[in-house]
Amino acid sequence: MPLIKLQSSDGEVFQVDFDIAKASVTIKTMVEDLGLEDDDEEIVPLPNVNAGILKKVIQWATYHKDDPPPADDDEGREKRTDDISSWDADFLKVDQGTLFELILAANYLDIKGLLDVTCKTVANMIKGKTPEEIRKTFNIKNDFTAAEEDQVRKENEWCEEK
Amino acid sequence: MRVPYLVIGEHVEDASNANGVIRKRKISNSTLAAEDFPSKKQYYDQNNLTLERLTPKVAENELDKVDKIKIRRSCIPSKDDPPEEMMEWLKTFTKWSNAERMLAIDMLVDECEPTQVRHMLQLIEPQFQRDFISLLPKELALYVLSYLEPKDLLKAAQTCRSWQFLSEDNLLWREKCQNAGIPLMDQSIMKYFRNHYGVSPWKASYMRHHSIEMNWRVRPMKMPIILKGHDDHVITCLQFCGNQVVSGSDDNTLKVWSVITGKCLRTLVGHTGGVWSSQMADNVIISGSTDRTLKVWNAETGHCIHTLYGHTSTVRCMHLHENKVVSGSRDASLRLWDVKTGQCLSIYLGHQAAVRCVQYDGRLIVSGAYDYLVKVWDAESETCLHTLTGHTNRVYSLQFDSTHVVSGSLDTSIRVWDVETGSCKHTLMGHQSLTSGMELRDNILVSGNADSTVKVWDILTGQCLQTLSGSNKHNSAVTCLQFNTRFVITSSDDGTVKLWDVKTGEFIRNLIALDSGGSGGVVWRIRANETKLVCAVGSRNGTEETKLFVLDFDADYK
Repeated sequence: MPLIKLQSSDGEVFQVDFDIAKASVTIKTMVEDLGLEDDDEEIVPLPNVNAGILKKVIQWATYHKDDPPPADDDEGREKRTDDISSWDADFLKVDQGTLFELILAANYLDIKGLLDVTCKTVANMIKGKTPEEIRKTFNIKNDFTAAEEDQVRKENEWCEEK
Repeated sequence: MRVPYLVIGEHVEDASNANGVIRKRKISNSTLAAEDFPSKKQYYDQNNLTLERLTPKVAENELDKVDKIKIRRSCIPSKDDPPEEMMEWLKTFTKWSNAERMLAIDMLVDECEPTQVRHMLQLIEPQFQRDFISLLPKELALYVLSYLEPKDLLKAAQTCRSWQFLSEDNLLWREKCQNAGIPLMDQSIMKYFRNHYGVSPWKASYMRHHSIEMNWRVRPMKMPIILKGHDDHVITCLQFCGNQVVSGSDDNTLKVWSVITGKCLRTLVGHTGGVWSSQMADNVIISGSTDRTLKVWNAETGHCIHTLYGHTSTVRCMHLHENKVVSGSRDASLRLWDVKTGQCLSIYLGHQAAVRCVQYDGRLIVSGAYDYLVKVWDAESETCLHTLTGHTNRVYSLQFDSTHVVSGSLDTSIRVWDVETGSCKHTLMGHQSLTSGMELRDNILVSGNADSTVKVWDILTGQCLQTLSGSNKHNSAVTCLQFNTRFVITSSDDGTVKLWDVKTGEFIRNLIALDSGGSGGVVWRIRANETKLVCAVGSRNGTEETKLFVLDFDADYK
């Protein structure tokens, strides 16, 4: 299997199996468009991903290399967040800064599986919380005036079953 | 300037002597942190260790000393005016390598009192937090929010302005509406809701829909409007269209009511026998009577436009499709009429006994009769395409969706037939008595039975999905029912109207419970739309006056 070289924004070079790296549509397209498959010396530059994050991304892609390709059209389907595998859940036990960088990297590298699972993880951090708990979780400053907050609360009242 | 430096140094020796093992572990963790942030858990663990270790070691007089120093310096500390030696101290720190800094931090933490460590925690914690929704590119923030359920989106909207802006994204709410099968609300009522639920029309639609659902399910019900009429006679049929209700009675009349004002707008007088069937569309009302005729009425004026003669006995059932109506009679025949001209277009002969129920889709007519048979007719050619045999008693109810015919019989079974081949696909067993009313939509059938239960079926598999019974079940025969994607509403001879969850089969609550229930008061017929329920109630023994109840479940938007 051909190896390709990926270079992080801070200059570190990672040798990765192309079969693993192609989880990233961005890398796959770049390699194929530039005909780098047979060229061991060429380096794929990834100026938007630092070494620490790239390492995590490769770790994720390695574990998921045999996953079936993601279904691209999930519109109209109810979105679930309770279907994160235990490996992914462990993998994403990171601080919010790292999770944030992973979302940006998954988006830039176009890895749908990783983008989905990271976004679900953030959604799960929001679920079931009161506005004040959400603010605490993400260190958000409440920038509503008292009158605005009152109005917003009225607009967003939710009647519960019980 | 050397003082704090030395102090730290002294304590390093103490600490590492006493807790060498722990220190080693901590340092190796910290070095790792250069490329991998320590998790919050590790962070807390470290602090707890430090606190446990330090507290017993500090003697009382030492604490006093510290306090005195604090008091002496309390006027100084501020970022604008830091003590000189502190700057030197910081400068030294910045000169160190990463490993040295890590070690220094470890030692500094060891040196701190609990309140100071807590202060550190407060400083550090936000460093590990990210306001994802405000900081991510908009489309990614919306993607995260798309994973939230509506009630969590509403909470998110209340956190701060940027979250509010994104949580009200119209396309986000369109997706929520589409998943829940909620249409965009009518323009005519949109203006009332725009300010009530923020700016997104789809969000307003969702919120209104939810509010209505909660009004049906749990909220206290408003007082019903009561429409009194037909004296002590039976209301035999009920139609509900727009804001008008039409009740037909065995007092020979029909009445047109406004569900807004509760007023009786018109009484349709002309039949010389009881009215037992009716249909309504736009401005046209059609009625069938024991006087053997059908009458076509103008709903606005109350005038009888046509009287349709031909049947030789009671007109017991009818089904209107566009401008044509099919009638079934006790004379065992069916007739097709042009509503506009009043002409009889066709006659269908073949049943051996009274025709009890009929369905018509513009091409095919399906009829059920007291001869135990169901027949499929080609309306145009007047030919009987199929005779569906199998029931062993009278057929009382029919549903037809142009693919399947479903028939309910006094033999307690319900049969599902293929209309093209005429073959019986399923025999639905389980009811104990006569199936008096059914509704079929999207291959889901709900059947109401004289055995006091209601069943939900999948007609493709023939499976019974739910039985609406249990401790809150009806105490007497089910008289009428209606269902949508969420609810089943059922009425009964026991004087109640019940609301059920169509998916789980659970009883939700009584929408009507007559005081006279059990002693004669009955609910004969119900009709509902998204926000209103109309019930025809009365009794055969005078305990309950004949009347209509109109219950309103609409969302408040005043």
